[in-house]
Amino acid sequence: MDLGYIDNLAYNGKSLMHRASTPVKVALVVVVLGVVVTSQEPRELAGVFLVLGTVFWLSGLPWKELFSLLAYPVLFSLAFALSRLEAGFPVFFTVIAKAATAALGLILLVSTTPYIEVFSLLALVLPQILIDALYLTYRSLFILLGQMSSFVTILHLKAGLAPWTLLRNARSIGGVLGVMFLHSLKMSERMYDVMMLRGYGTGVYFRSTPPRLNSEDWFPCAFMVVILMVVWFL
Amino acid sequence: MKEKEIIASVRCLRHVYADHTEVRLCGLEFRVHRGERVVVLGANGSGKTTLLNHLVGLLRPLEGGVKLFGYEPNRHFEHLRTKIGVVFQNVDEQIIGPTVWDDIAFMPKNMRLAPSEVEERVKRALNLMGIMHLKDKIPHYLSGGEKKKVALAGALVMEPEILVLDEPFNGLDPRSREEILELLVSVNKRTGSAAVVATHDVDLVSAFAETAYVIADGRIVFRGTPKEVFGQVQVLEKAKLKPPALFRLFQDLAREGLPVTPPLSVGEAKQQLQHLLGTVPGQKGKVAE
Repeated sequence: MDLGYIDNLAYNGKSLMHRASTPVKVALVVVVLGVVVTSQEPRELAGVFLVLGTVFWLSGLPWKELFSLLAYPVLFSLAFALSRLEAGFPVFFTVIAKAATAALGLILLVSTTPYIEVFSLLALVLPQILIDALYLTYRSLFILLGQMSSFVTILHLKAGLAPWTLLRNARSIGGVLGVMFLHSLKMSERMYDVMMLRGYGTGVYFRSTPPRLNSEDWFPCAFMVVILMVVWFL
Repeated sequence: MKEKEIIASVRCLRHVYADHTEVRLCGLEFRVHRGERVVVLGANGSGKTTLLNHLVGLLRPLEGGVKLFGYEPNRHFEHLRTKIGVVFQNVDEQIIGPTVWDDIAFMPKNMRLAPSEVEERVKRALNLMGIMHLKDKIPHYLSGGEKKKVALAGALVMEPEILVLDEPFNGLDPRSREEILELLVSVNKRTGSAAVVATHDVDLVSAFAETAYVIADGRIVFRGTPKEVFGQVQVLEKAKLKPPALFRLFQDLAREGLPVTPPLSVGEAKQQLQHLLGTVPGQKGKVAE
């Protein structure tokens, strides 16, 4: 599972959710995050999680791959939830459900919306320098991921990675990350040179047309209503 | 005939990188005339990239002189950058825009040109490279050849007076290489911009260059037409290079007494062979009386 995979899903997907306009998809995620922040009810959070799961299913997104990404927020929230265990199981569940629901909402957004559309929308509200930094980080990560994948292949071929040799694997990956760090430094220097040569001064521009609603927007809108109803009735 | 104006020159350069690697480029003076197609030939690590980086103003020499349009490029970087189009080895790192269109529009927009002019320039560059159909594509979904064309369009969008390309054919399949090569020659002829290409690929020299420089052992050791350069086998050997296979074959045949001259293209070789074998064009295999 990598950034390239998610990017590919977002760019090449044809579902209703993929075709809906970015502002409405972002609005759906904002509603989800709003519920996550304000709700203390495990039932509400579970309900919203299920609604998002339904959107996932209807959008033809790969469950196994994308849900595995939830392991990270769940794992980190688990540490916090365990520290609040004395407050009871509902609190324990709420902490984990908040992390998982928020993460699922964001995974849904990034796997159905090409990143340039997200950045174009952000560019309307965030300062140019921040958008440039975010965008260039994304672009650099993409280039570095290609190199990382080649390094991992080489590690496999040279027996640097093998099952059940955790220490050796950790050492090999550590080495690769070190080399990648040096690579990224050199790469950032080269990118800076190119940007200077190409007259960088005012920013990286997105040929964004003003965000417009489209006929597929009923889909995320309908689920927005469902989420609000779940919160209202539960 | 009146010699064209010299727009770039490099004389006895010395540069020391941060890791103390020293690069010296003495010997002949490197010169580029207006509208000229120049190839810099040299093995890996011979200093070609250092030469180009000085030429475009990214590096400042410790010793020696670099002039571009009469200015020191490193000191007058801002003034000169609209006159230079650059494509480096790794085009992935050079495509900055979120889409092909955005990337090509990067420089005109940063130069604060009017939106209508930006639009016009981007369209012109896309058409020049024949990549209008790619305009909305995201860079990382392009093939190697397409990325090169996008980078070239980005370099050409300001209609530079000199195009500087570092190993532009690396990593391309033969068809893409030929396509890029043809595009470069046609751009040079249509726009009249000079082009400097650094490469170790001798096969491309005759199809592209009017003048070729050979770098060996920290010196610019030879300057001449492709034919003159390929005739200097010792110079090429010193630069750890070899003339193209076809050229070498005909050189050997000439040495063995056959009435041939080493050709620069397959067409030229074909003509000589037909003449030598006495075959009539169009009547394959038939030997003339």
